[in-house]
Amino acid sequence: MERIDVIIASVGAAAIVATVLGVVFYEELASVQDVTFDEFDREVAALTGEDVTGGANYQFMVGQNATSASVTVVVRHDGAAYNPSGGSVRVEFLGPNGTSLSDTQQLTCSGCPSPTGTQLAPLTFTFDARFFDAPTDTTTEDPAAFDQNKTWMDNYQVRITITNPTDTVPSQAGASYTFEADITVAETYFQHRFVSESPENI
Amino acid sequence: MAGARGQWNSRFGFIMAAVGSAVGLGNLVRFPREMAGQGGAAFLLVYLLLLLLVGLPAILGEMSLGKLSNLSPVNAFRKLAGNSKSKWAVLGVFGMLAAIFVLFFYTVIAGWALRFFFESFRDGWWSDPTGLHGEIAYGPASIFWNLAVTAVTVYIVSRGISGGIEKATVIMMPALFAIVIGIVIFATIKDAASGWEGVKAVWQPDFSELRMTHVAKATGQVFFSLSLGQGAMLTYASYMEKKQSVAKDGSTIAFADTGVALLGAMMVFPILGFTGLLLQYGEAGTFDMAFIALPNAFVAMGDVIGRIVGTVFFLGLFFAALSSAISLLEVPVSVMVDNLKTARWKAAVLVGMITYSFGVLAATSQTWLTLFDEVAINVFIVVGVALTTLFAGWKAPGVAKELDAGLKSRIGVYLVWMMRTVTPALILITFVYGGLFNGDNEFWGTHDNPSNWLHLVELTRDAFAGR
Repeated sequence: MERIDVIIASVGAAAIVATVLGVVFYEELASVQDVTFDEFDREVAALTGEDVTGGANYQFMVGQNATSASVTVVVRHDGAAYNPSGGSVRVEFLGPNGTSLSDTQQLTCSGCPSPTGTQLAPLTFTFDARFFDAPTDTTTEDPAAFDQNKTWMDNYQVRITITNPTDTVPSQAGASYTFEADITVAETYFQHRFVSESPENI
Repeated sequence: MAGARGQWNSRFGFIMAAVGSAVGLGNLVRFPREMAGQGGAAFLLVYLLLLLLVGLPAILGEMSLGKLSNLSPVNAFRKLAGNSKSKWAVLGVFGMLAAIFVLFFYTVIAGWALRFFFESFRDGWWSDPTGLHGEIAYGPASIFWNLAVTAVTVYIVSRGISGGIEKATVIMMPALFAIVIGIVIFATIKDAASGWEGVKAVWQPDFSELRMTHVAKATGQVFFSLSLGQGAMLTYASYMEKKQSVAKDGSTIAFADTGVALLGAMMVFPILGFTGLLLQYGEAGTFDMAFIALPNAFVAMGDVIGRIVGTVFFLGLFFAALSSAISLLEVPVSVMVDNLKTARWKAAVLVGMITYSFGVLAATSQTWLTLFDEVAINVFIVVGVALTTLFAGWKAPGVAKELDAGLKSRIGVYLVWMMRTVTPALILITFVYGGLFNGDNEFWGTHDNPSNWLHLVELTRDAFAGR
């Protein structure tokens, strides 16, 4: 047997030992990795709601890791009256169990124009609600087991209440009103990122 | 016909092997990120200038030494210095040690690419594009895949120059080019349809971004990209036929390497652009880009297209990494074969087992992986490249004549002048600058934003402290 064969056998044994030690002690050898949390935007799927007398309720669930929601409500309120007076649209953004997450916004319409018809300009309401702060940056030695995801199981609501104007001068056909609303919700959500160094010489 | 020491069967085979040595993960993923983050086309202009001033003279100098001596790194310096006991031989040792240190972690990274390729058939990264890399990068799985890649590398190198390395690279490199070009065409068409956001992100020139630190980074990118200072180009050139031209082939290799880097830029950022992930992952690091951002992008492409593009991408990534690992292993193997007259396969097995054993550390700890890279760069490569270039310019006989061989014009004397003056000066200036100043031009830097040498000190401390 040549000397090189002895060396190869010895190094081979060392390689086996290195493998065993690596498999057994990999957790002790693992580096501490920095974990940062970044926030990103996303749209929520289009909402559907049900009409109730004098308005509508829209429910939606925020997605995983959501931190804030920006709700935009556009209400179009059309009607026909000879001389309408009064009338209002009230929009509320409610959290689970009906808790209010923002001030109620209300717009009134008095002395609406046009003796032959009433059409409110589309009314836009915007609510911004922050209900969760992203986790603070941290460290981990076990990226595979790292989990700070947050899942929300509760419904949020956009509640719209309509009060139709009254017609101070009765029209020929009688007053009637319709409304429709578009609601978009934009969320921010957090995502963790393991800060990893990359070698330069690759 | 292959010589007793081994020889390339064809010029094409040599160029494929050498381009394979140069092209790696950095071309496909790191260069695009550097370009996008440091001024786009402005950075590219600086890079090309440094390629001409630093990269080309350095690679031609190193290749000349290999072809003139027809020997592996250590003996090449002894022969060309005209003294078998010459202290210049230490440069050969530097190159060999650099190759070994890089191999400690390079096969680990190649193992990740191979694992991701196999996971393409098992829904691995498809079902968890963000989390898979974190789960498998360090630990027993990574040790196993490192072993698999090392075994493949050892096998190919043990088969010899023409029977192993050339045969493997003439298949892998054309396949890689076809994969990259195919993905580039697809990604460019899709990015065009969605407003060129990805292309703009990587190409938009911004000269205000250029600072001395970026020039230093571009210099480093040039010679890491060309595999300089690790003995690989010298070793490969030592197997060239006499009639081959160092100037022609070396230039082909350098520009092909840059071409692949530009294709990488046209691949990665258009993909992020048309899948809407530019904001989220546009500044991701190299590993995050390859193993988190792009898998997410492939998933966003849709079921059929995303799976196909992702699968071929990871195959290409593996080919790029494996071809580089092969050239690195060949360096110490050739030194052993030339000096100890060891059988090639025994040398390959021995070196493979050594690099695998230390690679267990890189496969379990990010700190050790990065430390091996920083030691290779700061201790062996940069100084080795500068001194090798000076040796080729001042000491080695016949370099100018070798560079003129096969050419109509006489450029050798100009290239030798560069090797004597401009090239090593630029290397050393940027090395010292990067060692002492961080990215914000602060002397020594801080823990969160260190200079290269502070980073090396802290990595060494953390590695031995088990952090």
